[in-house]
Amino acid sequence: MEFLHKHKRLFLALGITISLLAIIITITGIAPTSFLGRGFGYIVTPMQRGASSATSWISGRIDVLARSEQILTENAALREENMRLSNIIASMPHLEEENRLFHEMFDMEQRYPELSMVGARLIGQNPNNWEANFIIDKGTNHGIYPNMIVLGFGGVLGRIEHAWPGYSRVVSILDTRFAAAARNARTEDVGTVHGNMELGLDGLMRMDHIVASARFMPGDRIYTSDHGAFFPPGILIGTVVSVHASPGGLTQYAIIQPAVSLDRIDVVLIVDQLFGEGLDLAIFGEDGQ
Amino acid sequence: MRIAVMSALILINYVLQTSVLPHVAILGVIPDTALIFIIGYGILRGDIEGAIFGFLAGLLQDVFSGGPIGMFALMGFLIGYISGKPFRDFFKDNYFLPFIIVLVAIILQQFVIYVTSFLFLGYLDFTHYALSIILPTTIYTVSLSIPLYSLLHFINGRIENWESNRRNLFEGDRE
Repeated sequence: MEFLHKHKRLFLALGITISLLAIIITITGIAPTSFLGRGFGYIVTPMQRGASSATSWISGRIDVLARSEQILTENAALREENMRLSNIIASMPHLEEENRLFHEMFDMEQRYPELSMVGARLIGQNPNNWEANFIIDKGTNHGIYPNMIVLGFGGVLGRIEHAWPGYSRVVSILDTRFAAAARNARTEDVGTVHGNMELGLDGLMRMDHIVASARFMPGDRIYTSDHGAFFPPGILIGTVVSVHASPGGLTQYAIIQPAVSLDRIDVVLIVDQLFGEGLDLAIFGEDGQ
Repeated sequence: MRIAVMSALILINYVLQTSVLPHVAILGVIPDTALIFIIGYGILRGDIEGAIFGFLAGLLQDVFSGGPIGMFALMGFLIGYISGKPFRDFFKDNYFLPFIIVLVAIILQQFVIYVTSFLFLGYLDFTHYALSIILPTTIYTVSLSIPLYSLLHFINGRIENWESNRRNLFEGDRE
């Protein structure tokens, strides 16, 4: 420490240089940096897991106390719903047959016999208010790799951006780094859905590159399309809120309400299969070797 | 002892920031408690130690965020260094000083994040981001600056006492 106090300018220059070098290395990818995450992760993620579980438990208790009246009402409604579902289950053989016919119709079963999924717990969120990504407690040890699709209850929640042995970072649908090829289920028109900083603050996304002739309407359901690099087709992304002409009028863009709410997520589902470019990247690496 | 306690503080702060604070987010933002500790440590211990503390706290945030590794480390390094540079001779119990430095630093830090990560991607509506992210983050962070600086001041005082007792013990042995 004495040496550093005597050579403050050297210390300052060294600190700035190391940081700038790290930034350049990460951006250009000329050297691996994932060992840092692996190293810190062994210490941080068990603590995050514990803190996250404790916080969820406490907030759950507070929630129960605060909503006891509402829970009793919900309970009564759920009993009724339970009875109704019991009746539906009784007619399941008929619905299963109908479902099989639909699958055949859309050629889904031939392409994806089944989407294999694995559950994971959310253990940490990015403390930087400008990004919407989070850490889950499954990683390469559990067969999770970058570019796998992450689902919430209802639809797409994001994709795996980076995976370490025991945990992974998920870039959510509201993050500006998220993009997916998408299709309007009603009109069959395609476009690209991506996270947008401005809309993300209100929990919305944007769908771009829609042809000017497309007739999008509020309420249209948007699914992943088979034109995408990473995602299998047919997974719900969200619904159209509004449609606008792009500057120049050659294309349109739509505001999308995601099917999954990002508030208070505790668990997610990961499709532990890779598709398209994600599979190529996993096999051949980013340099194509 | 100091290294162990401060490393633990950086880790615990990061864990709480990522797993507990999102549950108490206000208007969708969480406070940057790491920044308060970096500035507090710079004021209490001077520029060199402030810069090292800031670098490590920033590096931890870099590793798990999706951005380039080194960005938060560099910001933490400079904020820690600057906080310790001119203010070391100030009265350490003056809690108004960290309050003001945190206020200035958080606005600058958020502005730098906006410029480096979003401005060049075409997100030009600065007023919107200033009102929806920078302002709430600033108010939330600044409101926690005095209690967290008090906590750091207390921890630092305990460590200094321990170090002083240890020094006296060894000097006594030498006599």
